[in-house]
Amino acid sequence: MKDFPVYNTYQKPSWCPGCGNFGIWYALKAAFNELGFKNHDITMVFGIGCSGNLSNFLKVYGFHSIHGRTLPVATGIKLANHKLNVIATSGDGDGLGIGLGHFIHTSRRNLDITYIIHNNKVYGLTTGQTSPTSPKGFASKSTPFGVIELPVNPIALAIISGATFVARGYSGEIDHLTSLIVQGIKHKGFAVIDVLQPCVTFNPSYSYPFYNQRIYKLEDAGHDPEDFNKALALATENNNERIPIGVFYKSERETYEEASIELGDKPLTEDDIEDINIDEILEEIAT
Amino acid sequence: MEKFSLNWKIGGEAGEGIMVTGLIFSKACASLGYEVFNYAEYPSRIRGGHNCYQVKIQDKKPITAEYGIDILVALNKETIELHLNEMNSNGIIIFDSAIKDFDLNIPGLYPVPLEELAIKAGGKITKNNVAIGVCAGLIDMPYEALERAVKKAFKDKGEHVQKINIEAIKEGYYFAKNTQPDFFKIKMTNNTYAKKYVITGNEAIALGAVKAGLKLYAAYPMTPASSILHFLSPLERKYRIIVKHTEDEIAAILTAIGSSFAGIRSMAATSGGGFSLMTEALGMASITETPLVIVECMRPGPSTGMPTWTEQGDLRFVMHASQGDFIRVILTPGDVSEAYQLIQLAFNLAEKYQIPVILLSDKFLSESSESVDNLTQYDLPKERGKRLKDVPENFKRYDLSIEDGISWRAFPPSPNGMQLANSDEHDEYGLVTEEKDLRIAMVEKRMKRLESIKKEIPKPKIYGETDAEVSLIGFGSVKNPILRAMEYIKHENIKVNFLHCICPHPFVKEHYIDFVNNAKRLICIENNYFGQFASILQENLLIEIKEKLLKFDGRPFFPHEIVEYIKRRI
Repeated sequence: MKDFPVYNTYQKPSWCPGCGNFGIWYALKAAFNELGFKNHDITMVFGIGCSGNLSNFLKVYGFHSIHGRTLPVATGIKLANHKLNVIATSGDGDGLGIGLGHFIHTSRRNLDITYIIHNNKVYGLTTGQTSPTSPKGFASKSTPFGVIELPVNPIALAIISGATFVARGYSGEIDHLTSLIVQGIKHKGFAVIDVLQPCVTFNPSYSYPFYNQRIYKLEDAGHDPEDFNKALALATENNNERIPIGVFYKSERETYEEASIELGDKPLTEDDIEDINIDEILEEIAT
Repeated sequence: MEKFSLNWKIGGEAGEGIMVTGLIFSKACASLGYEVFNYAEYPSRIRGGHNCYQVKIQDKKPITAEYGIDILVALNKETIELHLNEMNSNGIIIFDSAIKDFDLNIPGLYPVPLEELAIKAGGKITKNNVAIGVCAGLIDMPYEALERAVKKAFKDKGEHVQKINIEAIKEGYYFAKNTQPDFFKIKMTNNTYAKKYVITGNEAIALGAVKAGLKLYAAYPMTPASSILHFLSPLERKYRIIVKHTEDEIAAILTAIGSSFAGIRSMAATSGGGFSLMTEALGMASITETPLVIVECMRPGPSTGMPTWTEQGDLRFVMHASQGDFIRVILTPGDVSEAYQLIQLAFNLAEKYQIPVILLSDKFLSESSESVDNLTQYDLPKERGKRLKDVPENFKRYDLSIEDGISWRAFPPSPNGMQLANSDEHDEYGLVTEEKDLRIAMVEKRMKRLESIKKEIPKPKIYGETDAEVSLIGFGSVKNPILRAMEYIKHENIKVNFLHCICPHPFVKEHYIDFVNNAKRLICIENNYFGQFASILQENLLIEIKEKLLKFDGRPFFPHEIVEYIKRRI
């Protein structure tokens, strides 16, 4: 595996040996390299949890937000300067639990942001409670008798909520994941990449052997990502024996930035605010 | 006292357009050089329920909403029943002569065929304008002043609508001229045009923010903050401002923080409920040293409380909201011009010191409108703080070697500017740390800014006489009621002064100590139950405030209540 240490900070990852986050870290760096990004070309927003600790290991413009709140921060950054490459990441608890509302609304907006979900189906940093993507019956510190609810389906939610690039990656397939991240960043619109990410410590039953035996690539299976209905059918397929990775859905739709006529080609950050004339508004409200 | 004073009120059902009508009437008065103050009372519903809109007109300030009505326009029977006891002697009640099912022997009744005249003018819908035409005729307002105001108000509604509404005021005006009763004596004398602006506190906040270079406004609708959103949204394209109605208040504050991190001036506004949702992010703005301007327009709580009424019950809340120790500035404008100016100061302080600044308003200030002559005289020069264009290598966003604790900001995608805005405690680059010496150094770096901030925050303003027998103290929107009460007190031969606080936090002892020590009888006046501001004074000045005039019924202070309180205890 090729590493690109130019994107590293001085801090070494604090994840457990074998953590799926390593694969996402390597894939991100490889994607940045492939896209020819310099460190300052990248603006990333991170959440709280093991995934959020990634913020300390990437030398980019970063914002390590609070739990569940990466997407609104990313939205603010993108609206202020829509020329930036904005990538948000969050965990499954972070982004699909406390921050689920933002996920749906950001999908509706179709801002040109890439969103990576580190999905290990468990709360790692708080030492092993159930997560919104844990399967029904999952026994954990917070659910010793098994989870009663059904899991959240991020791929299906993204598709029906309006995201225009929806993919699933696997942190054990770094080259494949790199390619998905590159495609996601190149895609004009909200690109969601749900990454299956083993937590070897708190969710060992969903570790590498489990996924390695079950995953298959959609591109090999001849899936047409431009077919909305097929994408949704695939996303809602209840088959724990064969797990697809790759691009589920891809479409073209006007981005939020494009539809915001006031933005045009010039980022708001370039506006000179020194001398703003409000005479016209005053005239309107004068006696 | 002033030469001219008129307290005018219109009442009717919600949905009858009385607020628009009241505003037109007040603008017509202001266009003749008068000062006006408009205050609305309405329930939290869209149709039905009693609404009233009150306009105080005087030839000079101070001005505020007052008790005692000179002209009451009653669009229904309920208005007469509800407000009869507020009528001044020689006051007049204008009502539709078609309404007959009540006691017609009430003094001051002036029946006018409002609906009949409206139909004559072109449609029932113009009834309210017939009524203000009648009022204008009664007080000898030059007709042209009202016509100018109506023309302007309906200028975008098409020629026909404009024409029938002008007809309506004309019908009303000449009806009054021909039939007015002798007992009504209040007459206007001004007859030349004066350019004034009649704006609400929220409009002043929005205007000040635009002037300050606002580039992104994020909000979720909540009374009484929503009118900021409504004022700003049509300006999006012309002023290149993203106005974003987000999915909730959490997204609103975080969108504002994200955009500020990227380098623009941004703002979010809400009321107490929405601010509750924002509190976690407030601390994040602080630890990441991201400038942030929040407007909190208070209404009576707790919880949903009384959505369309006023209170000053969130002072302690905004002061202490979010976990941990951190610096924030709270600004509490007392009137429209202060709101316009202090929102500009909020942006300057936020950027200069890289802190959250909260402008605290309330329903009374946010939704009442007041006349001002020249708003731009209150403009402040912009101070944008330490912003790097060319970033040196090995850039440290949270550089500990800078003496005043204010480190340089750099913005994506400037080469070399990489940094982590980290909600975790962090090192000079922003990367996480739990190391004790670094933690202490970072906390101290952030706290160092407090000394400079304390030197720069606005001092309270002191009004009235130096050798006062009674000293009043308060913050925010109690300003106008207190200043007006002081005008009345002058005539009672009681010497009064007033300290008006426009920045209650951080607390600067020196700003208050002389006033408080010299006070013979100190009364703290505020719109809440506990006396939150009084308690802040007590804990910081180590004094006991023996007298508090508190009000928490959802209504602002009316000057006569203050006057009566002072006199009762003397």
